[in-house]
Amino acid sequence: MVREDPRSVRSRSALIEAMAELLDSEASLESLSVTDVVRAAGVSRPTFYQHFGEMSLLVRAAALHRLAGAFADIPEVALGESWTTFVRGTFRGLLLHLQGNVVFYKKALTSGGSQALSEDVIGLLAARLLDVSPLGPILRNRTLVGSPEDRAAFLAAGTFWLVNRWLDSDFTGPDSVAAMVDRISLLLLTAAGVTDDEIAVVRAQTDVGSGGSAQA
Amino acid sequence: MSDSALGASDLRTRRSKAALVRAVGELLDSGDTRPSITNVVALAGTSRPTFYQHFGDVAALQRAAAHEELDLVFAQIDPIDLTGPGWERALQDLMTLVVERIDQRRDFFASVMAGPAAFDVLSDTVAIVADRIIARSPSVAASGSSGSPGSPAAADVSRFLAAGTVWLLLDWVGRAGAEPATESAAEVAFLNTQLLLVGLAFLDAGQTQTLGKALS
Repeated sequence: MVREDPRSVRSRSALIEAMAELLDSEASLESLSVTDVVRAAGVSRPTFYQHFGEMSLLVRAAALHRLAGAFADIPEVALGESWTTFVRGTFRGLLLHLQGNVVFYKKALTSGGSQALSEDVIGLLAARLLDVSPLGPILRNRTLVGSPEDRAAFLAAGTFWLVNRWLDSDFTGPDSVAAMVDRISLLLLTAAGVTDDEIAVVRAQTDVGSGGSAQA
Repeated sequence: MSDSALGASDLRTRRSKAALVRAVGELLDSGDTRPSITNVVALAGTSRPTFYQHFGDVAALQRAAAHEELDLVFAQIDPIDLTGPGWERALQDLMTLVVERIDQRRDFFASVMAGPAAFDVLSDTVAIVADRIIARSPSVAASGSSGSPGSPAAADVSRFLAAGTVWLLLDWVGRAGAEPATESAAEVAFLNTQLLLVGLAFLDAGQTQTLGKALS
């Protein structure tokens, strides 16, 4: 790997940090110009274009940076852990993070070119479902058409969309974090069509083995 | 109201709107993900003030154009009967029609989803598909519209499944541009039908009640 010029790394993070602050503020993205962003970051216009080319790419980078940080903070439960442990552990932390940054994420997710960001988020979610959740082995064991990755993306997209709409809610009653975690839990199981037999198989595998039983 | 009952200015307004929708469609077809107002009005043979009379910005025009495309798709699939036995097969036929139609307009959809209207179009499409799932799937209708304990609310299930389906279709459209011949239209239709059926059929079995407990 080519070692990056530290100055270039610094100017890139300065731009991401400046954009993150602008996303946190009440200012609308439409009213933001490249000039505003480079001024806030203390870099030149050519530097901006060298790193990002256009605003939507910087928005995506800033949002992904913050989200990846949140994902990294959420412990990856062991495969043998129960579904409830996984769902509560993963989605409670994630939803609390999103709720705490609601202005930021709503702006980023509805901005022009947000499709690429949605893809990133769905990709992160799908990987969690497939690689560290108790659903993972079930999705891999299926002999349905399509790949486990397709199945995980389907579930991740459904979850992403519900959470996206949830960001517009008042976060109380059925939209409280605790209630929303339970809704997501039930929807994932329902949409994946998980049966008691499948659960029993995964249980048996994870009780006997020491993890890595996904391909059994 | 028949055309003859409309005043001449109403007719002109309607025609200029249709011309703008057609023009942006052509530009999106050609792979232009961010058509400018200048190019749109030039191609439509209208003026900028006429543009602004109908649409606030190009994203709004793209959204309207995508909506027209969706109306065409649903006009084709809405008459398909899903009530009798063998409805799974009918759903497969329905999905095949959808995928073929999207495939015919793949450059259009890929451009829209790479541009500023992506979020709104995704939002509209998921809402329309979710409405159809609620209206036409007997299993979702029976699954507790009030969201009784242990079973997900019909609104949640329909949105979740709609988002998964729409996402896989749009993702396929977007990917196919970059790497040709990933999956054929028939394969994508089959995959989507199977994933939908798993989610829907499972509700039929009424097993959701026990899931939470079984996995705790």
